[in-house]
Amino acid sequence: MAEAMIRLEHLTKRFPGQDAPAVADLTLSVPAGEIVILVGPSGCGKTTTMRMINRLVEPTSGRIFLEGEDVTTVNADRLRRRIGYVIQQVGLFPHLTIFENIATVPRLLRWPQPRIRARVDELLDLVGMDPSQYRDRYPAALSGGQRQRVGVARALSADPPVMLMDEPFGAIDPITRERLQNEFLRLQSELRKTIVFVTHDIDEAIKMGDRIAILRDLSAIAQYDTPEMILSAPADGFVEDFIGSRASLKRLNLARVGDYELREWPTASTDADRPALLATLRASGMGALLLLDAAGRPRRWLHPGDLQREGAALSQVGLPVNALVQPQATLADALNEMLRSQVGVAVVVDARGVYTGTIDMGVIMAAAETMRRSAHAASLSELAASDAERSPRA
Amino acid sequence: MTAITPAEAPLVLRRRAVSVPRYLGMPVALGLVCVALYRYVSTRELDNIEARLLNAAVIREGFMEHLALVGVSTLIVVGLTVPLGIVLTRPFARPVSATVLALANIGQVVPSLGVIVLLAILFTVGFRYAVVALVLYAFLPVLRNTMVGLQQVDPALLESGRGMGMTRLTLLRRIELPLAVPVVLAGIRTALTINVGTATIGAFTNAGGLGTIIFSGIVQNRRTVLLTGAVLAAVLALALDHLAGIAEDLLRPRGL
Repeated sequence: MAEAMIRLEHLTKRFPGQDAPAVADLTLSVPAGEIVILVGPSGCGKTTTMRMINRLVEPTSGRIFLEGEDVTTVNADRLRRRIGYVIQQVGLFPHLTIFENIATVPRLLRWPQPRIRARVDELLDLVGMDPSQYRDRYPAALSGGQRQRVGVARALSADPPVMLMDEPFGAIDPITRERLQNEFLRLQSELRKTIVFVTHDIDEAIKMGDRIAILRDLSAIAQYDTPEMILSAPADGFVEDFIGSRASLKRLNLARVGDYELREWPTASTDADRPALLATLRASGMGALLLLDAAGRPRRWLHPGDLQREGAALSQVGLPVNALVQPQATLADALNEMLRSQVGVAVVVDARGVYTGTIDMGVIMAAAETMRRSAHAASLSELAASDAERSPRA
Repeated sequence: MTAITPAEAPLVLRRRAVSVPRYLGMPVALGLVCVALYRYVSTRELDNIEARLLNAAVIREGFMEHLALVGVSTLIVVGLTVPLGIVLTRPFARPVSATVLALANIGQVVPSLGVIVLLAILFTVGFRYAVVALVLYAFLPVLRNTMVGLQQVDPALLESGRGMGMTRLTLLRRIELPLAVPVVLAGIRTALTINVGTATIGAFTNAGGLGTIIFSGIVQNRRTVLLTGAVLAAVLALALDHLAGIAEDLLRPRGL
């Protein structure tokens, strides 16, 4: 594990007037440059836990370390200027322009005006909004998705090493949410911030997280691990229940088509003669040929019957190829395409649309099996490691 | 087909609707009322009593006294309620703020005449005590609006402001107060209008103002005098309300 950027040690929070603590004796390390997701049922204390990191909630006991420094008792306002903060409601100030909103923390830090100006423009560019167009607008003139982008830009304004995000995409329609998630992942691959991200949605957790902490009541960690491990080797029944019954399907979201060996498929070019094609098809033992155009892009599926029919050009007969995936697609995407395809395979094409191979059920089954086995092996070696730790004392 | 989605549609900056012609209607109307009143009074044969009351000196004095009563009391009210409203909406005051709000609502139904007379009985008569009475009477509505104005600020804004490292004072100055301005101003505007009306009652306690003219008209059964005083008080109330409305438009934060 990389060096811990945030370390929480034995954190406990009791709210006045409540018998049970909201968070009880939580210890957690967040490695630098990773997205750690706190996920759990509502009321489990995940938001309280996150708010203790920037001390919007003051811990009753325990210590908080940021970049190795004990920040449990430092000035909270100054601490918060070092930590980006994004909330579900975004919380853009309606009476301030987008510029003024993003400039909030730099102004608190008393940056010189030209530096603030340059930074705001840079950030608007970064989140894909034209500075000259949006700088002087008020939040009321933005769509929900745009507001959340400005919210992210505002949290990044003073370039904090750490960001806290509380269900940042929770109040956005599913299509925009998907897009913002992808954009955010792309941003993060450049910025490499240390991010603590709270959600109640396990699918979002699996998609966004480098590491997931599944919390149960009192913010007790049920499992803290990579998405792969959580899906493959859930620590206990609680985690299993929380993941839901479709763990194997969800795991397919973690693997990319490009990481697997593709199957060759018999192909044909538009100028080939039919008897030869028919012979090739018979020899391959497959049900259909894949017709490619001159540039190598898949065009039609040709069944034996199509080849025997005289008259129409090859590019006019057979079935259109509708199940295409790119190497970056997940196995879940590929499976979805496969189910749409009449031939039961998804055709893999590169960015220019050129055929590179096919992926079929066998690949997916093999991938699922490998993932299950490697996760199992990892959990076994972890067990062995913890046994080894224990044995010298025994 | 090119459907314009909300994202593509031109987003127009919401601008403050300040247009000079829109503001001219009321002054013109009030001017016309004054001219009509003047012409009506000048066509009448005034008897001794009427002539003593309806001359430029008396009317000017009454008008200025009235304006002073309203102006001074409103300034004091704003000076007292805004800080108090801020204090009462801070987290530590939460236990008492609900009670104060309830009292503020009750305070509005106490009859103004009662307040003024009660004060005159308790203390003495004159301008100063009429101002105290007016302050007491307008105090609670403005306080209530100040508190409501601060309390209606979206908690998510406070959360994000705090989360970014704003101190409580910065948050108050840069976020809470500007966003409370419209509601606070509406309260002050109401207080101004109420005070113009209530100040006429000040005449009973020898505080001067247009009330003196009105009540002389009533007591001495001179309809023209009564009418002049009443119309001038109404014109003053409408004029102040109009000015306060302009102030509201100018001071309302942009973007809202």
